[in-house]
Amino acid sequence: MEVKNIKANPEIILRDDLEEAAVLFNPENSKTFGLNRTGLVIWRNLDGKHSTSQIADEVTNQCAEIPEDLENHIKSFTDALVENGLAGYIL
Amino acid sequence: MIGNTQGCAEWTNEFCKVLELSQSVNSASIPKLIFTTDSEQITEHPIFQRSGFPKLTWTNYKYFGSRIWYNNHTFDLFCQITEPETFDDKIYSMWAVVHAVYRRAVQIGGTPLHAAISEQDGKGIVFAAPGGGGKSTTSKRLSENFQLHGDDEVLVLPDDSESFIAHPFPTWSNFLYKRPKVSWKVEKKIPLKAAFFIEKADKEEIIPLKSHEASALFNQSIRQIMMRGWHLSGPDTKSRLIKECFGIAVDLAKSIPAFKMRLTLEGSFEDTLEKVLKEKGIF
Repeated sequence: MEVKNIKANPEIILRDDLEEAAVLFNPENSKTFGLNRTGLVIWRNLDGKHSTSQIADEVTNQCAEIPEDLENHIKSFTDALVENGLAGYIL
Repeated sequence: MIGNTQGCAEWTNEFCKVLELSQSVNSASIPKLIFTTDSEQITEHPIFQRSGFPKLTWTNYKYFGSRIWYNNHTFDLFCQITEPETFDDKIYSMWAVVHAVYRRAVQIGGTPLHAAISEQDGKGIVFAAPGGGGKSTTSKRLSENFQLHGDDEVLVLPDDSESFIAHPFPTWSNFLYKRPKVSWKVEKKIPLKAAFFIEKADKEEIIPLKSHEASALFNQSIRQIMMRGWHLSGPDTKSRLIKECFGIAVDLAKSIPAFKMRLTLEGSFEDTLEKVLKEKGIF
């Protein structure tokens, strides 16, 4: 599924003022999800408008450490967010 | 400041004994916690008139034989206590009042933790775990270098922008299950310097937590206490409280060094504990 069709769940709370990067909190089930710097950039661009390659560009511009095979990494990461109820598909 | 009407004097005296309250403070600026019986008309009583009632908009909920009145402008609480029929009813009604105090604390960035608290040289350390998870056992295994102040619930309040103080609160199960009635001085104020989240394990180790891990564990510890009453004021208030509690969990994780503490039943962990605390500059 193209990342452009995935949007961050608006009910999820982001705290990005932590030492290591950030944490997401789902008030529905009280589960938390830690984000490193790369994950935070991806999360901030998960608005249903950015394509996978556009998000990859943002990561490349903003992060010092770039994961190998970045676009596949972004897709796996967003799949995990969807699986955990933190993001959803736009219909 | 605690006050009561004549009809609630006996209940209030016992409540103060359970919380080991000794100081008498009277100031217009200190939030009031007022007890009355449920048969008295609170709207006509002079205490409530002086506190702004009925000019302020008060809402209320019923919890374990207590009707708790609160408003969104002051931190005052008025509690109508139904005459308890049994000793257990009395303890549950006290628990309900304390829960209301916890809810108000959340509004100023404070929170209860499901934790024991010990102190060395004026520095407080909490040991957090769910019920039966080893809080009390771990605390009792510490040497006399540590002074135990509470073994079940701790109220943590912000001291300034980056530090917190802790007050021990009662171990309610001691009263309900007729155990020796060890009570804790709620007025005791201990600077909070570290948090250890207990896990039962085959091998002992202490592992520093990253902030997002500590946030999750602080949130769980808060939730174990607060979720008992989340349902009381409707879904919107419940949702707000859940979010506020998480925010406070993150604030704690940012300010207080936190560790996972894996313990066996009989190992000696105090040396490792003190070493970790010295390395962090806490002791």
